[in-house]
Amino acid sequence: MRHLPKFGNTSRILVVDDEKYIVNVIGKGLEDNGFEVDAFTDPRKALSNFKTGIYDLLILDIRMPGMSGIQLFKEMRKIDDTVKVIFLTSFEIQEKEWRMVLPSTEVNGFIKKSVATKRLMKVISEIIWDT
Amino acid sequence: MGHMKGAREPNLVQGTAEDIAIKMQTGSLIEDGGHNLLVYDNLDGLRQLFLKYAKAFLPKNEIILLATQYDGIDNIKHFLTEGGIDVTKHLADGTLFIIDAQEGYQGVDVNGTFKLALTLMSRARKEKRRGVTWLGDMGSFFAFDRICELVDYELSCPAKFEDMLKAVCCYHIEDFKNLDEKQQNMLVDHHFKSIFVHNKV
Repeated sequence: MRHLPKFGNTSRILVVDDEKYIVNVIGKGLEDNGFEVDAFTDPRKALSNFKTGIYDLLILDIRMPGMSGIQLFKEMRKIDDTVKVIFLTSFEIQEKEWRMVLPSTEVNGFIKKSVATKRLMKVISEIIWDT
Repeated sequence: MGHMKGAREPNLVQGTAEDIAIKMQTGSLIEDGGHNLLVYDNLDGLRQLFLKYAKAFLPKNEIILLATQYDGIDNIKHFLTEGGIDVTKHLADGTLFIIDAQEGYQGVDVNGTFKLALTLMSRARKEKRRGVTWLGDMGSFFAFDRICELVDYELSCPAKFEDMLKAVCCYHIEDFKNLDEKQQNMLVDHHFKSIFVHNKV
């Protein structure tokens, strides 16, 4: 894996998944690769703490009880209309279906939870630095 | 339970996941033909219920249909296998079905999973099996903002099916809280039994 570009400020990523294990694995993988990470297992708490201009990227589980990742992203986009997003899922990714739910919103990526950390870091670096 | 005001008390059952699993295993909780509601507060508890129920009733010649919303299908297979169920064998002989609940409820037909359960019931009858148990997570209705459709769907299903079909509609507590009090009470009242699982496994 190529080295990620270094900037004056560390890139900050918000991870939200209802499963603590997933949050821990992804959070550690990101921190080990030099990112600053905020992580939540409760989407409503993540939303109440969310502020504009803080995050370079959101990594959101699509299927969460109480508030889905799509619903959470819609609310976060009302606060920060430029924030980028990757959706996580354990299921088959059906982009066509999600385009129906989010017709006018750019989604930067869909990642299956089984994907290796190395691949995840590559996708993240491509999104954050538009490589 | 404050928000359950007005519900028929005899139909309400509460307990830890372990208590509920024991009652489900012995067959005393999920009666033949019952259309039940189950509210769980963590995924580990639901997994344990799936495992213990499948472990008890697959050997009793029952067909089990699991419709999962928050756990990947591979995760469920892995969890059941780790728990001592020969998942490969049961999938191959058609006694265990693990499907994506979202596809089942939000696909072309809201009754997709119901129709599958009915098909399995016909097959169970032909093969002289004990029956079919269908445990389905209803979370996709909330993800798609289809609460009215959910309530209509639930009310369209009778509290009692034919004896060969048992159903458990599973709700995560955070989804259930998205229903207003009237909707919660309607669903609790409508189901044959309403089971509330606490967070200890």
